[in-house]
Amino acid sequence: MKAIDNFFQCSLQKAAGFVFAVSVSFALLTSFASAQGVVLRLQDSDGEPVVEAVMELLSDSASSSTSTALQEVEIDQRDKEFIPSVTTVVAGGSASFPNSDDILHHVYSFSPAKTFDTPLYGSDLDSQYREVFDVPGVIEIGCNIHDWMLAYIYVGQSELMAISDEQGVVSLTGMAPGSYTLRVWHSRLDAPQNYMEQEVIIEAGRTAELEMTIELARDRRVRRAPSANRKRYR
Amino acid sequence: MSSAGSVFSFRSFRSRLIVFLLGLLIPVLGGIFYYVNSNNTEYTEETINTYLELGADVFDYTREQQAFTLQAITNSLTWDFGFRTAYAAQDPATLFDAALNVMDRSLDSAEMLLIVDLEGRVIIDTETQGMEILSGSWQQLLFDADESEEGRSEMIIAINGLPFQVIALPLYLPRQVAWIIGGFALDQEFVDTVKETTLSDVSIVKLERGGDSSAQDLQVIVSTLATEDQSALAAQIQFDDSTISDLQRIRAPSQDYTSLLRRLYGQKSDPLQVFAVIQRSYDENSENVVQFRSLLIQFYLLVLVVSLLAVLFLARSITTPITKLAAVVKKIEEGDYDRSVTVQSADEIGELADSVNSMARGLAEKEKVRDLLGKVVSHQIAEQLLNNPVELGGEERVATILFSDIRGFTTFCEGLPPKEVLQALNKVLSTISDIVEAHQGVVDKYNGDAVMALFGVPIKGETDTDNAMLALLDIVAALEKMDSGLSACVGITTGVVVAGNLGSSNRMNYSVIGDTVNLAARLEGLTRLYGVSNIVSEASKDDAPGFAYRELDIVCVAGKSQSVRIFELLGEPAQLSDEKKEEVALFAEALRQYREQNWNEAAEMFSQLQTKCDNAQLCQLFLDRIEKFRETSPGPDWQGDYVFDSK
Repeated sequence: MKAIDNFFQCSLQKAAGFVFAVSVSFALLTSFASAQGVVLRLQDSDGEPVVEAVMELLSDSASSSTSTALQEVEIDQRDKEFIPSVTTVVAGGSASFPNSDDILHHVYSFSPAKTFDTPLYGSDLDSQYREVFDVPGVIEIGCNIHDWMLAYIYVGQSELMAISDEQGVVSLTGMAPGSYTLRVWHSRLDAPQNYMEQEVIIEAGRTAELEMTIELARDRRVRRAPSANRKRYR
Repeated sequence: MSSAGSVFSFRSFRSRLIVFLLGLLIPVLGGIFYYVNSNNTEYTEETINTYLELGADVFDYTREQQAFTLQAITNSLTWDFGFRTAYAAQDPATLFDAALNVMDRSLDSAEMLLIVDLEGRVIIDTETQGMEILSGSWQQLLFDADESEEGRSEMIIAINGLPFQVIALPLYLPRQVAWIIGGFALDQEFVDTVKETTLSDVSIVKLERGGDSSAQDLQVIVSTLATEDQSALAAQIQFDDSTISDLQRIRAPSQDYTSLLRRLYGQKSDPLQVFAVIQRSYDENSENVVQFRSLLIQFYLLVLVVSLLAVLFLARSITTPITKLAAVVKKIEEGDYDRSVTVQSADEIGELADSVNSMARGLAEKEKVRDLLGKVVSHQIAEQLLNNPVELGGEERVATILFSDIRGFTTFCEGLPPKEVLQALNKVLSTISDIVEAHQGVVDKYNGDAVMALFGVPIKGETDTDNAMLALLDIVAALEKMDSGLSACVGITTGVVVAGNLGSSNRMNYSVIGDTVNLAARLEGLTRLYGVSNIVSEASKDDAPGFAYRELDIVCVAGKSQSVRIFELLGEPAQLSDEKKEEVALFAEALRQYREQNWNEAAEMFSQLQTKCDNAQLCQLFLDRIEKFRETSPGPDWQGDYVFDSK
């Protein structure tokens, strides 16, 4: 009952506890290499690798590299799923949502970072709908027809971001040596706005190897509608 | 009809049969009734229980069905793009309108909507309960939903005093951003629906406990019961731990209800608890039992009446002939043998009636014999004959024999027709017989005008000789009184006789024989000679000393070797006059002189007596003897006896 009473507070407390835990488990294993970089190995509390987590290095100095051209990414809709399910884009960049299915989709977002919705559209009108994401943040996109379709667009401040692979490993290289804030985001990361941060110092010519254990919230997703598995509606 | 030893005594056979029947029937019928009734009642209660369980199940099912509909509607709402847009617009007023819109579209499947964010802050509440952040049961509801796999939970929660079935679902945008809670009221409409299906009454009651657990306020929120029955329900229903799972009997004004509780909201110590009460009319269900019971009672009454009638008939068929028999037997006891009883049955009673009839005939015959016997022989001999085996042979007994003869009867009969003679004779003999029997004597036989009577046989008495003496006096007196010129002469003696049945085996006669009988006859014959009415022997005189006697003589009668002293019975001493006593004394003196052969003195005395006494013949007898003895002396050895050569 105690846990229930503090049901709403507990997520905050858990998050705080978690930040502490992460800082403890932060093992700075640096090694010398030709160029400096960061390798982060992510695992959950069960020791399983955490995939599709985004790592972003936020430069503490104001002068970050902004010379890159506006980024354009593509989020395909195939077999009533968004592919990929997690995409990164630098602020100012844009994303298009081609429709590879033979039925119509209706993409929308109510995320504060970018609210939009497209009309219903099919495959003949591909890449006609392109949305520009100016504000850094996470945009959750869904399809109004297919409730289970869900994808995340992580709008970062710079290009210093990457997505963890099947082994839960995410790495970045080529950044200027210095002090950074390392931000880890995951859709189920049990923290406010699903991210947490840690200061990290990048030394020249060395690759910082980090390991991090994060706690994932319950993966409550909408199941695919049964009809989607039936031939007659395809 | 009653037996001394038994505890119960019955006045009649009929009541005995009735008591026996009732004693047999009532326990059996009672046992059957108890068994059938208790089984039926048990079965009825089981039926009611089943109905109630069914009602409770239907209640739950209906609730679940509606909850399912609610879930479907609420679920659809979460995917409504317009609603999502409204939510994203973060304008509660718009959202409120959207919620009302949905409720309207749900056709009352959803009667309230509540939207809270993931922190539990209330965004909209169509019931406007004024909550800012959810707590209590609501918090539990969301906790349960969050814990569940599908992010869904349901519960019954009291809203504004009315229980609501609520369901919490996540609102995806497209990730979960909020909880949508939909609900419908368990209201009158709901309980009416359940009643329609189950035919059981449904009430929803609210139990509010104050600070101390004893104070509790029970309120019926909605009910299908009538208002006065609701009050009875609120007053009687119990919510103790022990009773909550049991069936409870509620005695309402209209009828009795059996009730089953279902907890809808709150735990047992919570200040607010809501229960569903499923109720079934007990009377309605027990109607069959009551009907069956009354049928059974009617049947039993019929059985009892029929049995009683059968018993009465049976008793009647037995007692009627028995009563008849008893009446006849009573008549027989009184000596009326002419009645016969008619019973038309071949059973034991018929046999008994036949036996009684033949007994009556037998008794009548015996009585006839006894009557006839009593006429032919004396009553005492008749009894002796009837009561003892009749056989030949006899016994030696001491008896007093009385012989009576009528003097002057031959003269009396001269010139009379035989019939009148017989009539006169019978009259005299009857008189003598009556006197003999009055003095316990037995008339042995009649011989012409002579009567022989026995005293002391066949039945021995204490004063047989006295009785004979009294009879003698009465006989003499009776004949004098008849004043017909007749007089009696009587002889009495006492001695051993042989008494018994004399004759052949076919024809016999109770009598006595022996010397004593002969002596009595001789003594009677001597009375004429001595001019006296009676002569008794010395043995008889000694046996009856209470009377006054005059010694007459010492005689040796014909056929007997021994002399006998003979006396004349004078009567009872008190009745004798002084002159008579003087005369008797003088006679005794004269007799003494005579026996001492003082002839002169004796003759003088006898002559003297002859002039004044009434028995001149007696004195003359002795005077004549004295004349003879003067001529021929009897000799010195003479004792004074006189020998009679002829009978």
